[in-house]
Amino acid sequence: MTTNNRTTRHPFDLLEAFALDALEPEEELAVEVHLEGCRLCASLVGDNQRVAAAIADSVPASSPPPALRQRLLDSVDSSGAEPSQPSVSPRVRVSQRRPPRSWSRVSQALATRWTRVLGPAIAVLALVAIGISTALNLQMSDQMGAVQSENTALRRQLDQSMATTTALASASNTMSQMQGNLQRWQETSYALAQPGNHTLVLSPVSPSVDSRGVLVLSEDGTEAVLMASDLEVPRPDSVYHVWLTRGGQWYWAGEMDVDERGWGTMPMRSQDSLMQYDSVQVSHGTGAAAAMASPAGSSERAAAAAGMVGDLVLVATLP
Amino acid sequence: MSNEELEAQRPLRSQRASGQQTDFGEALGADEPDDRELLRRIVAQDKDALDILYSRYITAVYSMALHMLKQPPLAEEVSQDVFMNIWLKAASFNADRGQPRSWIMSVAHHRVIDVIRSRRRAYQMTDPEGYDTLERMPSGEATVENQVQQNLDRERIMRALADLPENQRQVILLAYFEGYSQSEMAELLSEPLGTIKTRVRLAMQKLRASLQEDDDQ
Repeated sequence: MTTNNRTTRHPFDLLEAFALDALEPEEELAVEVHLEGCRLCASLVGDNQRVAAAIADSVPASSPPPALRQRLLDSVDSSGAEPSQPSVSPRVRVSQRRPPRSWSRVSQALATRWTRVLGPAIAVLALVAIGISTALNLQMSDQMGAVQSENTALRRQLDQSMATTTALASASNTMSQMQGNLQRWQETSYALAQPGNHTLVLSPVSPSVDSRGVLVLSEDGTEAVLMASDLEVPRPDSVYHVWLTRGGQWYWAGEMDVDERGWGTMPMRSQDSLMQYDSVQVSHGTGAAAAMASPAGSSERAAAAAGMVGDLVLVATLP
Repeated sequence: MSNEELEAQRPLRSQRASGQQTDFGEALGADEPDDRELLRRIVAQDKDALDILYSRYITAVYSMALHMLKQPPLAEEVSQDVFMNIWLKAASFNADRGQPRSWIMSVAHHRVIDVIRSRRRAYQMTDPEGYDTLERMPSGEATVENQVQQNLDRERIMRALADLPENQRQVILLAYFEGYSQSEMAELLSEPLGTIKTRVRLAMQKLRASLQEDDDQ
């Protein structure tokens, strides 16, 4: 296993603490992501969780009230049939605030028969009320300002936390991808080491191309690994396609991953022997070309016109 | 529980039930669905399956919650949450990651730890002084008489815990029952983080070996 890049390493030293829920949140997240793509670590975590569950056995047994069962079943009924529906904590309550009574309605209320009798006094009272209201409004305005300021600060903190979480998730994704790559390399190495393999050299189609390639075929021809070097690094809108040809027909075999060093690898599997084809070819073109042809080996094979292939780079004749 | 008390329970080992076992080690009748089958049925929204799973695990879940939270109403609420989560998330059970029983207890433990940590954050209640792990180990006085298998399970983990060096047992109990992270334990015990991590790993490995040895006998 590669140890140069720490992100590709199994987090063996974290798995026991993970089972005990004793990791820091970022460590826990990293392990969770790793477990998605690593059956070895998933199995080890399973072993450790078995130990953790056994620790729970050390607790004296206590029986819950019988009513708890009915409460659970009632919750299930009220949750509906959607399994992804989140449970809502009954302790969370959002206060329903009524809008403040409007001053126009107050004025309207004041314009009653009483105004004729108590008009001057009401006018004075109204002025006093307006004054008090203004003062209260100013005070509330100050408080609102403070709350808004606090909200802004909290939102900034939240944004920072979200950015950190995003960065962590990104790092975890990278780790997961690296894990996937590593697994593919392990499978490739295993395939390459099998006795009885056939090895074919892919040659460049023109002297101006520096690329070279090798196709290693299993003895029965149903599995192969195609590797190529010195390829032009693909553009954002371009990909390398691998094609199989037979009787002048072109069959798309898949896209080949090419890294920033121009190194490409593509494992191939087929129900039928690949040796029944005439040649294997690698082309460099846009992604749309591949979508127009069916994969080789399917019952709906469709020939791809030469124009769909893109620029041919490498070719080898199959035995 | 003292070693003498553990020894006194030893003859129970010979009573270990035979026949079909759940992941818990509890005996199942021939026609009772196993836990995996129940989880599959729960994914298909089978309430009866949840009911059976509840019967099978509520004591373990509730006992753990009550022991850790010390408050029956809170333990009830958490237990209900756990089974509600199982109802909603049964599809996320991954057989690669062990047995259903381990998963259920892991879900339960995670939920209890969440409550403990949020409570700790709220009250800032940390009192490392005089922490005595042996006192925190549950006594054997309240064992349920009619649950021989549970006694056996309890006996073997108590023995395995008792066999650990004191400082390793301490970190296991602090982590599992008190909800301390490794970093928090390092601070609490004034030990380097690396030392705590090593103790946790060694303790878990010894427990695993000890339980495995028990299974093999």
